[in-house]
Amino acid sequence: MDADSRLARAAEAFVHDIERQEPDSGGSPAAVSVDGGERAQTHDRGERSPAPRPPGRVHSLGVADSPPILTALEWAATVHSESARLARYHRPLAIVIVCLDWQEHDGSGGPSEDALRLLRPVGQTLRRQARASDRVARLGRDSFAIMLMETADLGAAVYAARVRDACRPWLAAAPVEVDLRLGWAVAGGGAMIDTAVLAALAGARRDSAA
Amino acid sequence: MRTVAVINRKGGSGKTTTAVNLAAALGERGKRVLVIDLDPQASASDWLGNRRSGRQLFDALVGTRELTGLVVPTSVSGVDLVPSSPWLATAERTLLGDLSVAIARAIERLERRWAFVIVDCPPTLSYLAVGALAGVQEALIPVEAHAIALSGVAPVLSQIVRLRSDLNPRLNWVTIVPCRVSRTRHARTVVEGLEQEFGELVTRTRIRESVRVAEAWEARQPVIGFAPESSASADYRMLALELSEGPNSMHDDRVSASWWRDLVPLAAANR
Repeated sequence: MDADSRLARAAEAFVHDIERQEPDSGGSPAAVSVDGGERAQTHDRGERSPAPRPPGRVHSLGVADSPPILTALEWAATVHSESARLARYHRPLAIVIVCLDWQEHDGSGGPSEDALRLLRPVGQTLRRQARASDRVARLGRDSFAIMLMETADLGAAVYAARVRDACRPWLAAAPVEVDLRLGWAVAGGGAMIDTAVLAALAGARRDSAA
Repeated sequence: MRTVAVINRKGGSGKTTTAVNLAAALGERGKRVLVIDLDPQASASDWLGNRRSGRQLFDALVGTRELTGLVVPTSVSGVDLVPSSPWLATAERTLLGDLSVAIARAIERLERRWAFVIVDCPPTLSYLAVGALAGVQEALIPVEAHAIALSGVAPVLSQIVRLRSDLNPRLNWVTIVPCRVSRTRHARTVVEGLEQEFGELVTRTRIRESVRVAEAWEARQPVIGFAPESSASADYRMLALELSEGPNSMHDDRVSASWWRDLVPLAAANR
């Protein structure tokens, strides 16, 4: 990839990230075109995952609850439906796995009650850093999976970096020593979501030194 | 040649007013200035009397014309203009990141005929503005002296810091200009808040609130031509002096490097 292409992709990731931070900024020209046309999602070349939005409304002043964090069962159903969509439309989709690596354990070998209290703010942080169309699920006791729609490798890396930064204050304030381990992989171009999940898990395990 | 992007994510913050009147004030000081209007709303082009309806700027950015060939003189002494085009909105939707690259390269390739190149950016950090910031060496953020405007400065600054890291290491300076500063205690508090939070980034010059600016817009003249004795004219002249010959005119590498080292933690703390 030449320098101009790298710069173009970096610019797209930057703008994508700005829109990710402010998904409802309908007042921004990135969302409302100059000629008064419908919302121009410049990144949205493919079909977005359905999100409940009133038609024809500018959301700059809208306040809405974030989509919930999915259970493992809901995550499995999402993977199934998104796999079909991926096979049909071939749009990039990134999987990020976030694991909390506890350094201290109670007598049963698991994290203490105090440590488990960390899960809620970490989960909320993951949810907040993602877009409304992205899916965040809690898998198992201390892991989360995030499905980033219309996102390629660079976007996933940006999300992972943001999440690590945003979770740092929570980890520092935690009563126990805990590390955050992250891994990501992109589905699409022949790679299915399940494969991406496994690759992301492997990446999270390798990230133990972070 | 100094290249400056006038940017703020808040609409109505005074970007076009600052770009046009600063350009006029610099022209009055004998500097040659080029204004590039990257806002599809074409307010700067309107103000300088050169609104175009064709595709010219769009064609320059997709490579079928050179940007220098689009430069037109204006009635303002020392100021030339690259007018905007409504097709820029189309370009944003279709070219995406390639548009940013095209803008950055077009700015870099400009002939060095001008002492200042001032880019009037649209009120959003989309591909047009990102392209401008990727091609210039300086960013100028006009901030209305109002509490709502104050809260928007730190995020813009944080994004500029990140853009410098990701896209343009040559982006060496950021200037914050308090605008529409009225005589109220609130305005004074806001300006003090800006200085407290952003220190030497904030200019000593305050652009005072003046109805002459709006009247000048109606007359399609810069305020220093429309009302040369007004407080607004004096303020823009002072701003031009400060930018061209004050401390912010120092841009050697030593100053830039240490300044960025101080700026990054400041932006991170305010994120």
